[in-house]
Amino acid sequence: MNLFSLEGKVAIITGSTKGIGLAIAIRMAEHGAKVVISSRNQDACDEVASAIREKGGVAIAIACNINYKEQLQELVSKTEQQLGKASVLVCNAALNPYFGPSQDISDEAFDKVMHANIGSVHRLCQKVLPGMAEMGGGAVIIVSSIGGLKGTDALGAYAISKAADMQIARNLAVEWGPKNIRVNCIAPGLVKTDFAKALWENPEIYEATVSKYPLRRIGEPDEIAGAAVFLASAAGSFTTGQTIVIDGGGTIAS
Amino acid sequence: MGQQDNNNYVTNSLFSLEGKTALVTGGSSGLGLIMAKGLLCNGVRVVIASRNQEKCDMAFTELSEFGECWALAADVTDSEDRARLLQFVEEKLGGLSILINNAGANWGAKLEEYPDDGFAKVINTNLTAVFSLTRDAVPLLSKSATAEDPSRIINIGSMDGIHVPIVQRVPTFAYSSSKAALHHLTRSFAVELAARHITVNAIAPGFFESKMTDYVFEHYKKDIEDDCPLHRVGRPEEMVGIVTYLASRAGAYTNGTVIPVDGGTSISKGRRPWTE
Repeated sequence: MNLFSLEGKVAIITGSTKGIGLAIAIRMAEHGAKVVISSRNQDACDEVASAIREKGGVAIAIACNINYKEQLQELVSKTEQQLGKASVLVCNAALNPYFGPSQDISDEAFDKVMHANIGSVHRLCQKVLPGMAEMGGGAVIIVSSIGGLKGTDALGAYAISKAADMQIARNLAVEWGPKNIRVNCIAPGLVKTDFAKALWENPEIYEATVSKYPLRRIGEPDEIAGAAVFLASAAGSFTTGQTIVIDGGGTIAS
Repeated sequence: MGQQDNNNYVTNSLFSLEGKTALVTGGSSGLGLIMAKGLLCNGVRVVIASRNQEKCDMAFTELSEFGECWALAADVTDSEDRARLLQFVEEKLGGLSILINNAGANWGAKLEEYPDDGFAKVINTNLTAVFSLTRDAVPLLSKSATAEDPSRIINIGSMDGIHVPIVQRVPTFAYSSSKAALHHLTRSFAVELAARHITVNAIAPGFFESKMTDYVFEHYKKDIEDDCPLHRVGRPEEMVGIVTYLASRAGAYTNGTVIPVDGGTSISKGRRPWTE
């Protein structure tokens, strides 16, 4: 058997209609997983799922706003009805409504970040992990960020939520390890997605940005998707509770 | 099909190592032998090195079944041997796209009896020799490196370089210190060599079955399993998996990291009070 095969596994990927989530969904489908495409917009989900099916993969589309517990439950229930219990969960959807000093963030914006970015991961894991244990084990991959590793004067609440992801991974790795469930984070640096377009579209801004990174370039979505496939597959089956930083060396160099 | 073709659902180009070249130090036994075998199975041409000629010969016989392989008896702590080894690699492989610094030593003794020369020997093998061999291998690694497909250095650290070992009835002061230092050397090299299209990462294994762990498994296997959230020791393919990830297209932007492959042991709080 191929070490990186995900043949037959059901994988839920939140925020998978663009960027990193999309790359993860495409690569997981390519490696044999039955993928659940999910984001707030049903049309966008349908489009991605049908594109994957056209290329020979198995994919369904279930829209879900991660802010609502009932919708998270729907996501899990519909997945079970249509494909069976998930043995791979990728918590990728997150939001960042505020840019500026922590001094000035409103209570509403702060709570919104914690509720969506930390709360949804916690709640989705609560709903998915018991079923995963029944399947004999599985893998959870939380897409965190290098923002959770350093101090910041502009992305404070977001960075707190991304640091929390790393602790969720450690907690759940210890709690669910005996049931053969592994929980890890990926902490990407700057990646070539729409989310970061402002930083790579303009050549001058791009050069100024990457001059601080040892590899002198930003990452490609596939370079994050590769780690996700690794962590979900037999190749990564002794790695748990960890955060894999993928930033070309940016964090250790600064 | 193209290297980055998303349209093919059969092969997986993301993890392909086809056509690469590798040097594995300490490659005649234990984790080194496992990693060498894994690379060969994935189409990599491999040179292994280890001190003992007889063990090299045995490993060569075993590995040759899986692909194109060479073995050279060489001591990485000896500068003449290092030069001879790198010359051998250049002759056989032309360049070098993967360097796995795996050769390691250990010394266990009670604190009062822990000798200076034992401590020095471990630091010399696990840290200093890695620095020297890597420095001298940079020209060969550069030769095979491109911006799209950087050459990879993979240092074999240890979870004991992250936490203080719990199964410590045989203290290993030098070993855990040398591995912590190796993790930081990994970061230094990662920053230094990135501009030359060489990435540097470390794997921090937990317990795997190998000659080095025979003794502790005999005495403490249950403790080891209890301390590990996954309640088991590592399997050979799990070392092959992480090496394949780091050496392939999938790992091309991963640089300066230390990735524990320890079943969660190093992030778990100790379950047992340790006294003796």
